[in-house]
Amino acid sequence: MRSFLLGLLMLLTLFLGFWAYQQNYKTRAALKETRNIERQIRIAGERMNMLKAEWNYLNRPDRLKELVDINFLRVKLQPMQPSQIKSLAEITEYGGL
Amino acid sequence: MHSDPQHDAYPVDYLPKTMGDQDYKDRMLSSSPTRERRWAEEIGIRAREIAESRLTFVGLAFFVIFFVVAIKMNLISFSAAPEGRVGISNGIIMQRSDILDRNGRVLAMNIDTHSLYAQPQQMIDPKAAVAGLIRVFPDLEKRRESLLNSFTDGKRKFLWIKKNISPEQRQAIHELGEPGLLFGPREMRLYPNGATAAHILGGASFGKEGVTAAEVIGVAGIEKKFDDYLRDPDLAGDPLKISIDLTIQTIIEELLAGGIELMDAKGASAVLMDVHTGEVVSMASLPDFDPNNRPRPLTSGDQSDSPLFNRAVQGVYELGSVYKILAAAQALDLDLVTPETIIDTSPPMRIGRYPIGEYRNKNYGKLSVADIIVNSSNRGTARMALEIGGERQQEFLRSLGMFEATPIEIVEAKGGKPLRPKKWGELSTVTISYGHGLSTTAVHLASAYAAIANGGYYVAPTLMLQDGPQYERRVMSEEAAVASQQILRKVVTDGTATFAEVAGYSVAGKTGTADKPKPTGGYYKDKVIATFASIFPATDPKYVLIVSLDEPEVNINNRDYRTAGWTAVPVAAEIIGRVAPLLGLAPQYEQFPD
Repeated sequence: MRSFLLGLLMLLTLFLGFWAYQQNYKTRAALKETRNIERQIRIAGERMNMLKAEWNYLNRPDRLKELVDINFLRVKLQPMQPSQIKSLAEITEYGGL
Repeated sequence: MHSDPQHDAYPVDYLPKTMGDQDYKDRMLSSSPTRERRWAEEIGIRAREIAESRLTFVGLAFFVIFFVVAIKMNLISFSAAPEGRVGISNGIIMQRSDILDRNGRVLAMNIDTHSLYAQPQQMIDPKAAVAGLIRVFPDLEKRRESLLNSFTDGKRKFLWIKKNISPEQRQAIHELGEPGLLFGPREMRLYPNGATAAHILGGASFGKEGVTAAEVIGVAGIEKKFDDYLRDPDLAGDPLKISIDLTIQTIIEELLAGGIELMDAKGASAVLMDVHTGEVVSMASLPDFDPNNRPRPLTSGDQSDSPLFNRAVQGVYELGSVYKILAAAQALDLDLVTPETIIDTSPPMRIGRYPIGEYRNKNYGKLSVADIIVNSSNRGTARMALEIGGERQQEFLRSLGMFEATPIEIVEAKGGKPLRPKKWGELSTVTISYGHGLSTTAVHLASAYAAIANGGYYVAPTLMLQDGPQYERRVMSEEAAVASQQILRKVVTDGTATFAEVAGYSVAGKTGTADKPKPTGGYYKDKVIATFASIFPATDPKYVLIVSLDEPEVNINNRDYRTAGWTAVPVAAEIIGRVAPLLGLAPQYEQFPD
């Protein structure tokens, strides 16, 4: 009984040692991956920031207006007029919704 | 005598207490062999007991220690992992916060670029490097000689070439393959909308510069006013949201530019402000500039001719008849008059040696208070001002913020300090009542009209978003404010501002045409500043709009018109028609539109 217990404990110790060894390596791998992901996040953040700048630059009012003017024959966009805003009652008057 | 060396070898304190006693031991050993055995057994039992208790103690100690370690490990594994060392939010990417408009559109942001520098001692072929640099940057041609000198003389170890280069240029330099040409990371301020809202944003430039980084600092406008806030690392890139609406700002700038072109004006400005919160939704000044490439201030001549000059905030002018309603509002507030009170405006009227005249020497005769404003009678307003008296007039104008620079949050605001007479005599009281002798900015005027529009409260103009009305103090009774609104409405329906009728929106307002002062003294005969101060919708005022044109002139049927009714008013009407729907105001028709 006693030797059985002793053997069990020895096995347990062996197992724990192995487990700790593995955990150590797993932790190191995880840290390395974290650093890698952080780097990727940073690069993606920089890229996102650049895209945000580009998006806002391409959507600047001056450019949009120019595009509207160039494509006037196709899109026929004109400044909004107050008369274009109607109440619901007026819409039904013109033939329903 | 029997003696066992083994037994004697036991240290005394290992033995049961009685055994240390020599007499007892002797007695036991001398008696019999069974006693000797019993003694040995007893020692064995005692030793095992001690060993057991010690092992238990050690075991417990180990258990406790490992238990503590286990708890600690669990705590670590369950606690939230701290942010990585190279977090994107803390510092590296966003050194300076973005500025957003009220709807979250980007007005100013940072982008990463590179700077280019040289380390001549690492150069392989300085001649080829200079030639290559000039191929990429043609503007370096004029620095060819000095570059070659500093690359070859061996004295310089470090040399800036360009502070900001584009990714394409960086690639081109890479392709030169010169190890002595190096790049440093840089942050650059970008204003994606170009000149739109330029005067509000101001601009940014580099402060302290190092190889690996450079500070971006605000040099004007809101960028300078909020420099510390925008650079605060604790805020970690939280954007600054301001009350400007980019769409409305663009429309107003576009319409002002149209007005300038049509009327051959030198410049124009506009302020659109919420009368309850004081939020400035739009503030424009033309001519403007591109904050991405901010021009240098003028070294000579009049600063107000520079595009950097913010007419709405820095332009301190006598704005003329737009002030008349303030005299009327105060007279109404003090119960000196009602809108129906009749006042004699016939000539002559003299203050000391100075005659008080009317526009085109008209004589309106007897007019009601409302009609004095509708017809813009100088003498009528002057009579009211004399009733009020200089003391009370000053107090009232001070309460409207007309004596101090506006608190609006751009650095230029403190340069817009009103000019008032040193000695406020009777003549000043009279001339100031119709807008001459006191010079203020358009933003001051917006604040004063907001007080009339919101029922009598002063609100401070601001670029920050507010929640709810920001009434600072009551400056006139609600009755006086409402009566003034009705008078202003009458100016549009049958007065000098009939062009301000906008289908769907009832506009109230007052025109003002002020002769420009000559730098040498006196006034120009043919140069005016035409202003229209308006509130809309007149039925329940929500916004005040000030439009000012500098030296406008329209020629209709071979006649030149310069008065605000022909110049500033049509521009303002156009702005209200375009902007009011965007402000969430539904058009209200008194009768059905055709």
